[in-house]
Amino acid sequence: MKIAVNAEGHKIRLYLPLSVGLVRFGLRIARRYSDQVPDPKLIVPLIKELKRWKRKNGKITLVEVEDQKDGTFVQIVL
Amino acid sequence: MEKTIGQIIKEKRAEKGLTQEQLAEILHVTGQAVSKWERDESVPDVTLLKPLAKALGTTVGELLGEGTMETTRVDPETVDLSKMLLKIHVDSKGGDKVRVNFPVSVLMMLTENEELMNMILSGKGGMFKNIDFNQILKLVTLGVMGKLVEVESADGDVVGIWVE
Repeated sequence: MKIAVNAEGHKIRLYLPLSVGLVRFGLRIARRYSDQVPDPKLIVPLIKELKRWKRKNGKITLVEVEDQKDGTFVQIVL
Repeated sequence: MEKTIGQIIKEKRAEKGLTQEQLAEILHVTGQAVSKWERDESVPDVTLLKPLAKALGTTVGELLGEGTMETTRVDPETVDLSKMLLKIHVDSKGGDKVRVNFPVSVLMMLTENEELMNMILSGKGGMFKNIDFNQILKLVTLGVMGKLVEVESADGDVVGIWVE
């Protein structure tokens, strides 16, 4: 999974394997800092379905957001 | 305003997650050629239209600006939900653009989970809070495909929802 963010002159590119274990790990850590972060139990079934979808249908851009006001650009490619 | 072929190519390429170079490689042309098409400085050769449409997961008609397929009704028995995408396009008056391509199978899981659904609906300033995903899913399972919703609000925002 590729997460691309252009904001305030920074260009961030994250290339993450779409891995249930990794997502669960990341969310557990993030939840220590904010209770807004969803429970891994909710997200993991979605990751499994997204992996299945990608295997069957190929790459897809899940989300693309261009904010004209502050020039922020966010893209998530599966 | 109708989209140019360049805009359509750029949009479809992004949806497929391809770079200009990757698309060029598939079509045996240069990356510069793809870049020129997208900037509407040139147009693809007619012999490339079919392979281009195939590479971008669309039709020649749609590339040529005939618009995404109109609403159609198909036999629900033949609908393969595991291949379908729900597309939501929002163009705000301020120039903000949001493009969401969501596998219908994932949406079905979301609608079964209230907590997760609420999280999605409250995302990006609650932009999706007025979309009734359960109704959309109901339409899809009844075999309704293509453009489901097009709204031009008085504020100047344009929202479109497709299933394809």
